[in-house]
Amino acid sequence: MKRQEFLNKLEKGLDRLPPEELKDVLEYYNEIFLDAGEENEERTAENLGNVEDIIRQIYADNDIDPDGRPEFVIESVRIPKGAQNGSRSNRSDGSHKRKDFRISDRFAKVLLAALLFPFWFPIAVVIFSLLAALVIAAAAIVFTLGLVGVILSVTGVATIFTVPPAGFIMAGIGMVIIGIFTLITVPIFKSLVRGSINLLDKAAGKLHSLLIGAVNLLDRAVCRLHALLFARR
Amino acid sequence: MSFPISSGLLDAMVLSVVDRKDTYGYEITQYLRSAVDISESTLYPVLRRLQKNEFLETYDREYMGRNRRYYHVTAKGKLSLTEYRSDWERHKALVDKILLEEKGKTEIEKTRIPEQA
Repeated sequence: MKRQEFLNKLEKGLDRLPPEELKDVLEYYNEIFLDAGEENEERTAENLGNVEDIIRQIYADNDIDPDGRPEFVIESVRIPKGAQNGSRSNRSDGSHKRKDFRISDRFAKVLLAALLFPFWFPIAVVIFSLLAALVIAAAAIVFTLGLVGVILSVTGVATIFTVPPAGFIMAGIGMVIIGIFTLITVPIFKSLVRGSINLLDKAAGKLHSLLIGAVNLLDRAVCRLHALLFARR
Repeated sequence: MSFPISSGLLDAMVLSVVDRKDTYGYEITQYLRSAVDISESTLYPVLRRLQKNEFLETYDREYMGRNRRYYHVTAKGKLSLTEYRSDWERHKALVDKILLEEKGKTEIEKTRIPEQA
């Protein structure tokens, strides 16, 4: 295929492209042919590949359906193939719309929660209060148990010298109660300690990653500054 | 054996070629061909993308009675290229560490590896 034939095919196939885009495409390919040399036109056309494929690719890059369907969105093209530096913000219109939608979606959820505040807030307060009351009551019972155990043991031991049988019974019951108290409180105490250690550990981890993030940021800033300073050598 | 090139990497390679000196489409492809199997048709969307992102700008210069479109790296493009180069260094070090194990060991120690928490 010669240069003119190639360009004609391209122009015919790209009739739905905006005129200025089409002009750019034709100028680009025309230049390639001329730079490759007049005597190599056949080989150049071969190297450029299938005209149909080129047309489809250009349509896709311009968010136009190659087959002419209306309301067309190219999903596979949206996904940034090399989401590295350069191609981060290419597919402009479509992906931006999507992002906006996502943000407004989240915003709507927050708004809904705020508007329904009079409904869910009292319920939340009631549930929280109930839970707190239960926990406090349980703690009070356990605390009383411990106190009773200690008092019984002490008075029991004191009574042994005056009324030995009653004293032994009281001290015995008291010590049994202290035992039960210990059985209940030790696991709770242990898990509390473990929980707070975990919390502390997590907090330290967060702080650590935060610091590393800051260092990375600083590193990038220095890189940028370096680039700016030495860009115009 | 040839390795697939991601579009991000291709963008950066084109930026790097144009950064050496302002040049035109045909020459860019010829240069890239020394490392990558690529045609002018593949290059076209890359150039368009880089222009849209304002990494490249163009100007026309007359050559043998016709216009030739030259590409020039913008300040924004230079910045992106520097960033890509440092990203590439890190990436390369990580791949080398796995692929060229015994050779990589000594060099890796010196290379900072981005930490992720």
